[in-house]
Amino acid sequence: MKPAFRSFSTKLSLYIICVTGVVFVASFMLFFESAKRVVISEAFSHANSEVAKTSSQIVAALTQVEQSVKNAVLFVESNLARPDSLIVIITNMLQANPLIDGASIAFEPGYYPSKGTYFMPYVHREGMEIRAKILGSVLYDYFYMDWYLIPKLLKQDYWSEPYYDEGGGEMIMTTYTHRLTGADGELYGVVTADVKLDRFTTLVNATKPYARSHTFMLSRNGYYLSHCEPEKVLNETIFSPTVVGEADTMAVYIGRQMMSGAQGIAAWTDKGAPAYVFHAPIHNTRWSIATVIPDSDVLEGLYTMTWTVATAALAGILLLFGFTTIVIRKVSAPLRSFSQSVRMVASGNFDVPLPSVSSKDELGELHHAFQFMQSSLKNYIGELKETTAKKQQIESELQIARTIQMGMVPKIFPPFPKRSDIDLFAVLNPAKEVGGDLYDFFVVDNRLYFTIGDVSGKGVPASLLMAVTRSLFRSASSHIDHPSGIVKSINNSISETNDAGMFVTLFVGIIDLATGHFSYCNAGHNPPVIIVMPGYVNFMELKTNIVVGIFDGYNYEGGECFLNCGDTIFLYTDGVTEAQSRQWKLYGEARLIEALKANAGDDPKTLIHKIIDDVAVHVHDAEPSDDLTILAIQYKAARQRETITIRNRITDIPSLASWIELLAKHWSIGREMEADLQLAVEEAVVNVISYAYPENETGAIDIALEMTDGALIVEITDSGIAFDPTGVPQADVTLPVDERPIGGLGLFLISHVVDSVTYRRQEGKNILEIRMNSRV
Amino acid sequence: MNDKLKMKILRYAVVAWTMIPFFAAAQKLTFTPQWTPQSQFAGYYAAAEKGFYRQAGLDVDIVHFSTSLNAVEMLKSGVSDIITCNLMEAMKQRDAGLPLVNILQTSMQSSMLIISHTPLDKGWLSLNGKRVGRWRAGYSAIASLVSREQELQIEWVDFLSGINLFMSGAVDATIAMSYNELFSIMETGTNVAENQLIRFADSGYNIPEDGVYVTESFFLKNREAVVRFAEATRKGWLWVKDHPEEATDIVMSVVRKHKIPTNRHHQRMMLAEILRLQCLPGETEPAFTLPEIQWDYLNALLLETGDIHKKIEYRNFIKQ
Repeated sequence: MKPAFRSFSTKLSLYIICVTGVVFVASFMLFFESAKRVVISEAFSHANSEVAKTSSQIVAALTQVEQSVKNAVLFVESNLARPDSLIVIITNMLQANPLIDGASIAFEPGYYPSKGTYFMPYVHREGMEIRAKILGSVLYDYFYMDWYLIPKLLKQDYWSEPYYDEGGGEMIMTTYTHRLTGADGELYGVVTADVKLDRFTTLVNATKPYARSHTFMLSRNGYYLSHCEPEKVLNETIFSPTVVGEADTMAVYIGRQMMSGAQGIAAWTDKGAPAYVFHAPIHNTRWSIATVIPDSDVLEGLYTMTWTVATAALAGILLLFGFTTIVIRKVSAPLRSFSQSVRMVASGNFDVPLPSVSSKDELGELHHAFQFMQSSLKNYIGELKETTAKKQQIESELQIARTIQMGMVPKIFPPFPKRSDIDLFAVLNPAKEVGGDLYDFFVVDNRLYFTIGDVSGKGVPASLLMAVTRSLFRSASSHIDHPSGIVKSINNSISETNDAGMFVTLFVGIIDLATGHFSYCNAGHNPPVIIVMPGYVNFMELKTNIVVGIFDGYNYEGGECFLNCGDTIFLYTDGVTEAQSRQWKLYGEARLIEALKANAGDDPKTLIHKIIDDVAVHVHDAEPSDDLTILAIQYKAARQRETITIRNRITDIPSLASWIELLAKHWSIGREMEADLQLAVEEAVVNVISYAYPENETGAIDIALEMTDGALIVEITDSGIAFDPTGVPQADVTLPVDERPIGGLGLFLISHVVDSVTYRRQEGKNILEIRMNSRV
Repeated sequence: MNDKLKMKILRYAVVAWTMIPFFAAAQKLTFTPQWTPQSQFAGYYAAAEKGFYRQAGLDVDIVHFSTSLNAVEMLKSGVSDIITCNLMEAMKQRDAGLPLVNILQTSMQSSMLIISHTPLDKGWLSLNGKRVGRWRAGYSAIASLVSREQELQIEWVDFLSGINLFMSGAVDATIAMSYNELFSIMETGTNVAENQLIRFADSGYNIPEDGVYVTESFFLKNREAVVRFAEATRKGWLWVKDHPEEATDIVMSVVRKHKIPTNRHHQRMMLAEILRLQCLPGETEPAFTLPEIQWDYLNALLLETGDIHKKIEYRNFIKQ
């Protein structure tokens, strides 16, 4: 069972739910916004009417007070002549109007000379009673009080700024002043009415259109006359907090609006929460009332409805999710059977029955497609098996071919374990199973025949031509003793039947192991490197002929030289110098020379392995592009030394001569050189017989013959008296024979046929050394 | 009684005598500030609240003036021992026969200013022909002097207190204190630009205001206690300077106790301005002593206004 969230039905259901959800949320937001507008506009009219109602109630009460005073003023004016009766008028006013808490009639200084400077009849309520008294004294200097001074200066009736009542009571009062003016318009007194604000503040506090709304009232100077926080009342203005620096611009704006006597709505932040303020003026006193309604209050109903709808919608969506999941699961049930069948097909069971689908819908099509896929797969896998079997056969044949090819080249090293004059090592690494490179070598008559070659192309055709070339080399070498002849013979044989246009680069060499004589012929092959100790490493300078197999009858030219003991010939195919790194950089001849120089002292096997390692480092992980073949031959001509001892008798000379003849033949010394050798040795020995020993004394003469690198060294040792034949003046052959001094002639002969003659006396013996250099 | 014992008794007597301030009952003093509770008197409230008076061996009772008696009258009637008073008023009283002596000067600058509804771009001349409110209770003599000196035709309107007269528009301008009425006017939402103000301090009438006073006879009888009072008060003011918020809280608690209609914002601003006025212009530390160098000028000014009739000697008046 798959995890639920990964199943097709769940996914599809989720997509449906997501889209449904988005559609729902979008339409709900649309609904919410329009509903909000309606609710807010309803709230606005509701709050506005509440505020307006309160303000008009206050206005009505204040107007009633103003009217009461105006009525009283009529009586005052008509009773001015009887100052003591005036108090009755205001007492009646208090009785008539319960809103009025106190009243007075105050006159200008000395208006009634009989009453002195001050005259101010005053009545006020004390419980249920109305008490009267006459105010005005130095201590109650009413001329300078706001309620008297301001209307006097302003020349208009005046509602005073509210104040706490006398005696430090909690009651807030305001005083209405009506001016009494004479015919000239000059003020002679005022009639006042004190009104307690508690009626109004109660009214204002009761204005509560919403549960968390509150209403406050401001005086004309901005002081709170009523507020839900009582400590603000008369202590603080709406602007107070902003004067110290907490610039609440909203409060300032609303405060100014209210002070200006405007009616309106504004957005506000009430204790950090967004709110609306609805304000209306009270014209009589220039006060203003405002109701603050938190947004949340206005929108509470809307939010409740929103929650209900959202919950219902969520439940609906969940229901839809369950329903769609079940339906889709039912419809897609065959898909699960299909997936099981396909899994079985994938595991190789091509004959597994597919679930039966009879419908002609997408599932029916899927069924047909699976059926077709099943049969196609079956066929394809059958063909694939066949092809794979064939390929495996070819691969195994190629493996056999490789074994055979590798068997063709000598692979046992060291190849001549008994020989100390030659060290040889070779490696052939085909790039493919079989390759076109070849090498071969063998020794016949103390001569090393060897070859290295590279057939054009790669793979099986190249390997076949390689086999042919190697056979031709073997057969040609059996009857031809110089490399150019061998190459020519091979070339003729291949060219004759070379319709494929293939060719071979070939290097054939023959080393005379006795003398170090090295003859060779290069047919288009990479020039070998010669390593001469100590440390001379370079390509052999030789003539390069055309490659083998193209030009029938071509006359190949060879070359020759002598190898010294320790010289190494390093032969390789272009698999070495053209080995490529991943960046297609060739290994190159320069690097080969560097590598060889670095390892010049090594024996062929070590040397070849180091070069192969260096090539591998260069190639790194790149695929080998060509066969790689190396053949290294180190010539280590052993010193060949033979000795013979004769007596100081002329009669022993013939046996010496025949010994020399035998050696000369064995060492393949040329005839001419042999004759010279015979002459030089005979002369030197006769010299010793003649002068070394006293007459009739038998002495031994040791003759040693040494062949090194083609040079011959003869050492003649005797124990006779000291005699240096080289110290004897050479015979003056220009003199007549009888005039010549005895001796000197032998040495003359010797020095003519040899390269050097030296004498030394050592441990009581005379040692004469004759040296003949190679004649090649 | 041998000499040794005598010495011993003498030693104990000396120790006991030096301990007297600690054991003796604290001296009772009644102090009356010149106005209703507000930040103007924060230093005295703080000295009492923080125990500076008690530490000075004083039991100070702060009694505010009643509706019938002001601070000077309370001192005269013997209800109060120590009062605060405006410097000019104090000199006037001394001239009138009440021998007041200054034991501490808390104000170094004038707080008086004239505030107008309209810009006063021509300075004092802008007030020519205008109706300007001034306090009936005094302090306004200097304003009248200025108007005489500048030959201005100003219609002075005497009123009791507050800002209602000005705010109602019944006067064009009014005299106000920079630490009180100015802020009250600003609190009504009125924008007050600097060009609507004339500060007396900037007009060459930078006359120090509040100081602490006792009668000469009280000073002579209670010299030590008076000095301790002045010292503890000074300490109170310095504490207020370092703890303005805490000091405002102390003022607010006094204000609430006396049911004074005001708010903390107002009192906090007032305190800052009062502290500013305690320093000489350009200085940041209060001096607490009236500079003798101004004395002749002050006398001349008051002689001219007619508030005093003969010169008052500095050394007789200042007893610090």
